[in-house]
Amino acid sequence: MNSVLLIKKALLFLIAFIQAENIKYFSHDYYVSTTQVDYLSEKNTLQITIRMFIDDFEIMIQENNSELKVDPDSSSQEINKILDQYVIEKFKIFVNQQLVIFNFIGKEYKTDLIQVYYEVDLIESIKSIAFENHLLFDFFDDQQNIIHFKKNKFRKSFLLKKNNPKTILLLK
Amino acid sequence: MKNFLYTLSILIFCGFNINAQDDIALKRQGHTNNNKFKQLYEEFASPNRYRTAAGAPGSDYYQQQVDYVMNLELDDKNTRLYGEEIITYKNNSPDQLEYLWVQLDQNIRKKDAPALLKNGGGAEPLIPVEAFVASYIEKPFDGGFNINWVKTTSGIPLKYVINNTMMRIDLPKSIQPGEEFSFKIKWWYKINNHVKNRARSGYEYFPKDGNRAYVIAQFFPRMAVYNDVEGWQNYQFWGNGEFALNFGNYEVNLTVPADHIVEATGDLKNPREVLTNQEYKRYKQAQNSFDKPVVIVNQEEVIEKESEFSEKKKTWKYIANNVRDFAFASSRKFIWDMMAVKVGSRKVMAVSLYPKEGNPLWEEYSTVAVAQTLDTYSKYTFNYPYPKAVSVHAKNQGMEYPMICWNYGRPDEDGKYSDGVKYGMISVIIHEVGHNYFPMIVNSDERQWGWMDEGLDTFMQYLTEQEFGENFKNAISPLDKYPSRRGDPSKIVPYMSGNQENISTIMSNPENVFQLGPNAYSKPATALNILRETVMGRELFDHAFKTYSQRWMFKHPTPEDFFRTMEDASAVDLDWFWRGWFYSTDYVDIGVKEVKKYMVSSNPGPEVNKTLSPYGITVDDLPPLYVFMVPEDVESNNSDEQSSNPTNNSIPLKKYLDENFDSDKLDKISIPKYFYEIEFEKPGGLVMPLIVEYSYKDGTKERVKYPAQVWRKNDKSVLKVLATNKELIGVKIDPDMETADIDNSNNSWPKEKSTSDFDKFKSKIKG
Repeated sequence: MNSVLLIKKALLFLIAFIQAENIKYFSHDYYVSTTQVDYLSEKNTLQITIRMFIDDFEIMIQENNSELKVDPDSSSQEINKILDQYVIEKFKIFVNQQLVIFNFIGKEYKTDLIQVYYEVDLIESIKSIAFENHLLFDFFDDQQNIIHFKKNKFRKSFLLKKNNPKTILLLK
Repeated sequence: MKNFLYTLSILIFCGFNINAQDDIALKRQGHTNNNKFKQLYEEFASPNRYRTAAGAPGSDYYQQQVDYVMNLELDDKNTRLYGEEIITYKNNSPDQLEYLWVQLDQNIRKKDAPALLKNGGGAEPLIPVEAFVASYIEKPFDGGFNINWVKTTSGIPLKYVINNTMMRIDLPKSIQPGEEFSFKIKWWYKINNHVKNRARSGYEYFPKDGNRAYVIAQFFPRMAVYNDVEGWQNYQFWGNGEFALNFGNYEVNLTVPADHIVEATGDLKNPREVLTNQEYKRYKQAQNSFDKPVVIVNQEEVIEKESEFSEKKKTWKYIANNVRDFAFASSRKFIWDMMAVKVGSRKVMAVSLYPKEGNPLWEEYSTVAVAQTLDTYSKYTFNYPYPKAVSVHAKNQGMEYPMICWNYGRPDEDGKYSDGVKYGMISVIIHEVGHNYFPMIVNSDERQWGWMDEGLDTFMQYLTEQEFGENFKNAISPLDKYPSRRGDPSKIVPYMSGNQENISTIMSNPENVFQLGPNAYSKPATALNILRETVMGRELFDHAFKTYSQRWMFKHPTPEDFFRTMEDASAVDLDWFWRGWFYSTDYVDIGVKEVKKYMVSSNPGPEVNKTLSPYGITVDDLPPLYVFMVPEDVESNNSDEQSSNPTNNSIPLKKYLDENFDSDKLDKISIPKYFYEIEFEKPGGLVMPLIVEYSYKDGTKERVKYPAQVWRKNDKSVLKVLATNKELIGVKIDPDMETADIDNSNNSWPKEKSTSDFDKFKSKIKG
């Protein structure tokens, strides 16, 4: 075991210390986002729906501009801009090892959730698809990001955490 | 031949299939009973005289009684708490006890506590600055109990051994059944900043005025529970599994700076001594204010006090009877309001305590949310038996104790707040005040079973939020329904459809689950909601739930006591439900696979000949006792028959009707014209009632709820015949989404192309 690794391990234990006595009831107990990625093979596109809790989302927006309010938005245009930049920075998909380009379709609020929609037009069919999801890791230690991938009948789910934000899937 | 045919006809009549002999069958492996409807004899503890098979306390049920007399002093300057307590332990068990176990929960904050090392994981690439500084640069907080001494009441030192968060006291002689033993402990500890390390107890520091607000809990050495299930419940406090505690009476004298306002578990015995004349006048006035809260200490008065720091002391005296714990809040920053609420024939005080940082939110909603909680919970369980319920505002907190709880929900510095903050605050107050019922009064063992209080409380929270929304329309406007986060079946779908590697059964210890929130809160709450709405119905459920609450109020129930009572009081067998929802991680997925249309025909279909040919007989050999049902698409059918009444197509049927029904009756009965064989499939492991909506060509719809037992002989699929006078055009499963079905793509015939939120949104913006 090299020394860098040792330091990292030590850090981990210290983080564990911070979490040692978790309080039991936050606004939603747990920090989680869920992203549905549907591959439509006939159109060769990806449909992406990202679901986050509105209060987590608001913290992220206000970190960029503390004047802004969400649901209803004080300025939809500016909030969409911050959101889009944030997602593009924190959430990356690689198809056949190439970073794909996200097209922002829009967002909507549903009770306590925000749903963000993206579309990706692919050039070639998917042999491998890799996800790197850092959404909200910069705000919450125990944030967990779930990805549900679907291609026709095939489904696969991934749970990504701060210490394990990447995953790759090989398709037939 | 006639005899043979008669036997054969009975065989066919009874639905026997005729199979070729299968030699391999003789060599097949056997299996044990893995039917989903098997009773839970193996999972459940055996009923006995402590706990009956009906789920009630048995004839030999006992619980220990522990009374405390405590003198406490809060040192605000040095953030320390000092205490001296006399514990009187009454052994109601039939066993003699050689030693006692005392819980030292504060020891989880010792710098060398094993709990700090309990988590594993890979390397962390990112670490928040605050966490980095707290853990890397600053010295870790070194808290935990300092025990000065443990003595008998006559002053003889008692030998004790501390194992982490548990202290064993070795007795000079065993405590016999029925005997009492008193001893005393002197202790102190350094109070932590709860905002910094997210603890359930501690202080918040307000840098602007230099004051602290204390919310203090699990702060004194508390007796562990000894019972018929665990012996001594001395499972260490690791942080997630909460508390197992005894009922008893408390007499507490709490000394704090003279300018502090205090709230605590129990009745305040000396308001005259600790309140100013004006405060006392308002305090008395509040006792009779049933329509709105009376402010005892207002914001202007608090602002005035904030710049001072009294060197004088005052002692607040509390008496609390039949509680399992004691907690208190204290600060010179506290605004204090309260109102009276009628619960049954009794008066209960609904109380709020908050720093000015909580306003304007807290003065508006806290006390009314407390009142609503007492109202709704009392209706579904039992009348609230304590004299008061207090909601204290503490940053980021949501934690419950008898008669008092800490709650979050803070506006911005300029007093503005979003709907999210408002609903979060109302919900957490309902949740934490609701914990008075589960586990403060229905006193389950939280150390072992997180869901028994969290799940039941979250379920009740959902009912209360919905009633709050109905009673306070202005508070939730423009919504027409309170936006509950949990309880609605569709909301648990993402969790239950998730990766199985990260899901634990509800029947798990809170320390060992992957996601405590959905595991101990949302999933059991949703399961109970489904049980109430879909499986049992409100009337049967509510009675059984109330029976459980009343059987076990002021007692210590186990999971089996809950499961058994729900069945015992309702005559609904629920072993299959508990097995699926509580003992497994299975999910609901039910679908419709195929619909075949049949008609009554004058000619037998090809299946009939296939069945008869091995016996060398033909249809003509059969007695005229059969109605022929054939798939509608069989070519030999003539089109006249298709549109005709079944009696015209079947001579035996017509004859039978004529012989057995007089013409009056015959006019009244309706003979179905269409026959559909519908195949339902169940890819999901959970058993659920099969809720089907049939749509007919004339625009009408019909709901049929087949009981869950429809799956008892085939867990994968089931066939049903629908006989009707109307042409079927659609079948839909679970049309109201009440079962938490994780995949709706198989819920309709003909297959509906399920439009995702994505497609809906995209067509909307294009539209």
